[in-house]
Formats: sequence, C-alpha cells, structure tokens
Amino acid sequence: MLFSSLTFLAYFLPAVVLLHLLAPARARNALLLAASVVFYAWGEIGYLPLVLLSMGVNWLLGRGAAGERQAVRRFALAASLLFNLGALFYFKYAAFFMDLAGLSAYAPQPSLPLGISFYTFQTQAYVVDVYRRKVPPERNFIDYATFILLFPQLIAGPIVLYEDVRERLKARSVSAGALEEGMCAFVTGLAAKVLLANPLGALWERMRALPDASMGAAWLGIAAFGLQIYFDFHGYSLMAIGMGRMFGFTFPRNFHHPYAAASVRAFWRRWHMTLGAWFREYVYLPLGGSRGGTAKTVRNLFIVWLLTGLWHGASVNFVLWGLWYFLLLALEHFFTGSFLARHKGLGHVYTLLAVLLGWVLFATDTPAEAAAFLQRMFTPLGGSGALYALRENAVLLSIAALCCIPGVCTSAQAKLSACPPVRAALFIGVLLLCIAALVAEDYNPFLYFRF
Amino acid sequence: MSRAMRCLRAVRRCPLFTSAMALLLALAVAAALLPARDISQMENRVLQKLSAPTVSSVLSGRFMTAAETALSDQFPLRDRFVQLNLLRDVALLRREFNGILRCGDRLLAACDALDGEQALRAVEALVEIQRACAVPMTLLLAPLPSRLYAASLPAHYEADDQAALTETLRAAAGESILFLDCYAAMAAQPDPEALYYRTDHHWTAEGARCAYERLAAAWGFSPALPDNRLYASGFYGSYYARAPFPFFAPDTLCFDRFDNLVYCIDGQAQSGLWDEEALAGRDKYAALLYGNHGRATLLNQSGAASGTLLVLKDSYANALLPALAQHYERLEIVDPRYYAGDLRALLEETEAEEILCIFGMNTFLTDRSLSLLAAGL
Repeated sequence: MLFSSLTFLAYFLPAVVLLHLLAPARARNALLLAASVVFYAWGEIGYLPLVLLSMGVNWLLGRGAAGERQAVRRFALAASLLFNLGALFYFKYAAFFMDLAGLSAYAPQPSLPLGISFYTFQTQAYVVDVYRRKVPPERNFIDYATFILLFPQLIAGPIVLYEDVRERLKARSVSAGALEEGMCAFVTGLAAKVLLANPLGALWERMRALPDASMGAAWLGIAAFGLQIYFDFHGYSLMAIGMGRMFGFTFPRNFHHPYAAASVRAFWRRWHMTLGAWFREYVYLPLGGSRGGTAKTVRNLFIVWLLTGLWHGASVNFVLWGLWYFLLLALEHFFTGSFLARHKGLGHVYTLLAVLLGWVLFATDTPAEAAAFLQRMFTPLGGSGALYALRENAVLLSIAALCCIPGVCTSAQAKLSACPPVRAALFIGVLLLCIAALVAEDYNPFLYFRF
Repeated sequence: MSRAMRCLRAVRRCPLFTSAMALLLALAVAAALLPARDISQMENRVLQKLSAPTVSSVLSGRFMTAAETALSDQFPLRDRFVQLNLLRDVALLRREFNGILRCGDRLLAACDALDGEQALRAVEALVEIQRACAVPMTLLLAPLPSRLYAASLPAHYEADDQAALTETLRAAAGESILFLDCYAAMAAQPDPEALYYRTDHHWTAEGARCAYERLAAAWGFSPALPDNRLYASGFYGSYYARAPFPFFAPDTLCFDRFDNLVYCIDGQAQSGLWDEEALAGRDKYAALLYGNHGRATLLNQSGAASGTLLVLKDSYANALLPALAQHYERLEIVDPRYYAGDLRALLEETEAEEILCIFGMNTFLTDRSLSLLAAGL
C-alpha cells in the first residue's frame, strides 16, 4: 500500500490513528504492530515471513549481544551481521555481482522484498548499538517488533534508530499539538509527493522519451528529475514523520533544504540525513574516519561512497553515482572546501551543477544511456522539446523552485503556525487536491465501451 | 470540566487534525454505505466492485490489487474529483491534460506522437483487400480535427506533420484505391469551426456533408438534400470524457435526416436511424445509426435508386451514410472492428460492385482491425 493511495488515505490511516487514540496505553503497541503487519502483508504478503524472521532473529541476537560474556556478545554481533547483510546481499546484490563475474546463468533472480534496504539497516544498527552498550536491549518482543515494523518508516525510511523511539515505545502520550503538527507534516508530505513530484516525474519522462531532445530539453528534463526525486523522497519522509507524530513518536528529520547547500559536503548533510548518519556512525567512524592521515581518509571515503551508491541499487550507474560524490567530497575535504566556504554564491552554483550531473547517472539505467544524455546536455544542436514543455510547466517549476528555498519555507511555516484555523482551511484544500489527483491517476476513459 | 468540554477544547487545539480525519472518515463511510456503481458513463467502462477475499487470493496478493482497484473505482464523488484535479491544472496554466489540449473553447487530442506506421499498415491492408476482392475501391478519409484547427494549438506545440502523413498514405494507396482526403475541401469552407464538434473527435453534420460533397464531386453525382435535421443539446464527447472540464459548454449534436430509409442491424430492422436511449446519455454521437456494429444495412425505400454499395467504415461514416443511401438501393455496411467474416464472400452474397471505405484518420492511427480483416482473406 503506497502512502499516496486512496486505499491508504481513506481506509487505512484514519482508522489506525483513531483506534490508536482510543486504545488503552497498554494495547497501543500491539495495535500498531498488528496494523504494520497488515500494511506489509497488503503490499507484499510473500515476504512477510522473511521480515518477521529477520525481526525475531535480531531480537534474540540483540538480547545475546547485551549479555555479560564477551564471546557470546561477539558471536551475537557476528551472527547478526551475517544474517542481515547476507540476506540483503542475496536478495539485492547476488544477481548483480554474478552478472559482473560473467556467471549470469547461475544468478538467482529473487524479487526484492519490500523495504529490505531500510529495515536491514535499522535492525543492524540496533544490534550494533546494543553490543556497544549504547542502548539497553529491548526485552519486550511486542515493543521491539513495533519499533522495527512500524509502518510509517518501514518501507522508505527515515532510518529510525532505537534510541530515537526507546522511551516513547514504553510510554507515550499524544497531545493535541502533536496530532496537529503530525497531520500538518503528513499533508505537506502528501502534497509534495502527489502535487509536485508526480507531475515533475511526468515532465522528466516526457523529456527522456524525446528521440532528438535539444540541449534545453535535456537540462529541463534533468532539472525536473532532480526536483521530482527530492519532493518524492522528502514527501515520503514527511509523511512518515507526520504519522509518527500522530502516534506519539518523534522521528528524525531526513531532509533540510538540500538544494540550498553551498558545497557537496553540505548537500550530503542535508540530503537523506538518516542514511548519511548511518554510514557515518556504522562505517566511516569505525574505519577511522578522517583521523588516520590522508591515505586512510581517502580509503574510508571511497568505501563509504561505494557502499552508499550500491545501497541505492544494484547497478553500475549507482556505483558510479556514489563514486562521483567520493571524488567531489575528497576534493572538498583536501582542496576546494575552504574556497567554497569563502565564495558561497559560486558554491551554490557548483553544488547544483554537481548534483544535477550526478542525477544523470541516477536517472538512467546504463552508463551508455547516461553518456548519451550528458552529450545531449552539452551539445547545442537543434532538436525538439523544450519550449512547449517549459511553457506548460512554468508555474509548476516555479512553485517547486520556491519550495526549495529555506527562507520561503520557514516564513510560510511561521505565518501559518500563527493562525491555526487558516492553516487548517488551507491544508484541507490541499488535501482535497491531493485526493483529486489520486482519483485522476486511475481515471481511464475508453473511446468505445469496454465490456 | 466535563468530558465533552475537554474534547471540545482538544478539538479546537487541533483544527487541521480533526477536520482532516473527519473528511477521510466521511469518505470511507460514504464508500462503504453507498451502493456500488456498475458502469462509468464518463469512462465508457465497467467499474470494478469489491469481492470477498479467499485464502488463495489473499496469499497470492491478487485480492489486494483487486481491492485497491475496486476501492478507487467506487470512490465517492469520483467524477467530481477528476474535475477538481482539472481545475488545479488550469490554475497551473497548463493546457494539456490526459492527452487532450484545451484550445480556447475547443478540445483537441494531442498530435505530437502520431503512429504513422500504424496508419500506413491500415492503408496497405486496404490495398490488399482491394486486390483480393477485385472491385473498385474508394477511400474517403476524415482528417483529425487538430489538422484543421492547427492554428489553435498552443504556442511551440510540436505537432506532427499530418499533411506529409496523408501524402504518404496517398502514395501507399497508389493506383488501386481512389484516395479522397477531405482536408482541402474542409479548409475551403466559409466556417471551418462548424465542421467538427468541440468536445469530440467526430465531425458535425456540416463536416459530414462537406465529405459527402467531396465524394459526390469525385463520383459525379448530385448531392441529395436532407429532409430535416436532428438536434440534441448537451453533447459531451470523447475529448471531454478524457478531460471533463467543469463549466465547459457542451456541443449540440446535429444529424441530417433522410426519412425514406430503413436501417437493419444483422438483418433486424430498427425503428429509426438513431438510438433514442443513447441520445439521452452523454455520448450522443453514439446514438447515430445505433453506434457501431459488425454488419448493418441501409435500405432505400423510395425506389428511385438502384445498386448495392459495400461500405467499410468506422464511426465517422454514421453521420453521412443516410445521405449516401439516397443514391443506392442498399448500403451493406461493415465495421472491421466488430466484423470477423470473409469480405469476399460477403461481396458475392450482396452483389456489391464497389467498395467505399469511410474512415477517420483517428482510426487509422490506432486500430489494427483492417490488417486482421485483410489477413483473413
């Protein structure tokens, strides 16, 4: 079930929120767990046993990692790494690596379990944190299961760590303020996904499909893609955070105006923040971070960005995308960082350009396709497509661009927070527009009657 | 403080939450209580209904997919929400919606990615049919309205070159088919706006008459005048169905009546030349000649004309066949989309000496039934 679907909006979410509010405190986690299991089963019933198994195994290993005996603790940690990363590797990467090695005939072709990249990282972080004695183990199975399977963040993040929700799992109250802020965030996220990301995605697909796109059309297309992926992902994260609030949880922020960054380094501290934090905490710092001298720092950056690229998908393009950022970040770390700090204007332009070029790798399927697209972006030959599409989407693009500017967002937020009834009326209007857009997605007239 | 007062205070502190929940729950309750709809008039299709889950359908995931489709199809105020969505697009100053372009007070279908290859295959199929049947064949082709009204298309819109496409089709027709394109005659009319409906892909009675006169000029007969004209207001056509703008003025269906004809579908005589029930619905053009059928016949009762003509057609012909029927004793009508028989056998059976093909460019670009018909010979 997508968050941006009529089934979820009308039939699932209001019922669960209402039941959660009315339920006695003891039953709330069980209710959320049941709802989350239904949610996952609705989307992918085939892999439900895998998710439940993963959760069960990690719960037990978490308890093992919290024990007294060092051998047991080490074993539990190693076992969890093997199980979690092994499962992730099998389902997501086995076929890719075997293809690379020329063994595609023997490659397994399992379908990708829903949310495996997210819940694997979440669950692994838990066991590592218990091992490090950063958090106590969760002894209550229902509470632990609720933490892992909680439907707002199960499928598409943010990657929630146990320490973010530990106290609220045990005791939480849902104030009117939390409900209001939560619904605000949810509707904002829904609007970002349905009213901005979806039409921008359609614009990108249109530009991509042009057989002879002009230079303008190529740039328009990739800009549309960059905006689409931001509003899509940020929208989903906001919806998750909003729903979390309505249940009494406070999930971490995942995006913070990334397109306003003045360096690629700053960009990655504002884009998919929970992923960046995860890699920093569980890969970069354990490898030594930037404390071991130039060679080691470069090595550590390389490993982190290779893995970041791979995490996004099992394809050469994603690896190249990760390495593109490795190159830029290494350069910023050692050379260009201070220059960019002194010339913010240039920094903004450079960052946007770097990110857009990165998106070409992300948006295309093969390196050849990416190269062909880059060629179109930098070859001022004639060709079709840009003017009409630009005119059609001028207002949409302007709104999208405005929504990327921190000043605009914060002042709008402040003005609206000052007047809750006006905000409510406006957001209900936006919610109706979102519902209308979702209904229209399935609207499919035929020329002649179809029996 | 009483419980009610505390609730009220809480509600006032979260107006968005309360109103959003009320809205969503109201929609869910309405969906549960309202009777399920069978058909969508606007979409011309059957709407999916919720069916009971079974163990196998749940375990395979089929139940969930079907349930989501059903819940969407049966969503309360579905058509109104589609119109609200269009209002949003209008506010965004967009002119293209769901493949339809809004050009002033007229709707046109998108014409920047026409499948010329498909159209060529259709003409080649006709050439094959002509060769197999060995009788003279004429093709009367209705242009897309977007060719006639190209000046209304949005600025910078990269429409395909329909003139070039038509010439390609003419070349493919070669010597075997008399190729009559109606565009030139239509463009020369004093009021081209009146030739096609504003909300539909079909031509009006004026447009059909223009095509009829083009045929008359080519075949050397005097065009007959209609006895009367049928008018039916409130016609929202196929383009409107795809992009149902609120407050968009409907068309008035017009149809040239000839009262000396009997219309038969599969041998069964009908009570008139149009379907009164369809005339009361949204898609009024579908009332003409009772819509499209595999086999139909128009009989001229006046006794003034003789001969049989075989007509291969799509829905465009429905507006002009009664006029054509004035010059023959019988018109044997075949719609290749619904006809699965042998055309050669039919020619022999009906003793038709000529085939007239009346098609809109619309059909050539999208339909494969002519190729199938040719393959069956």
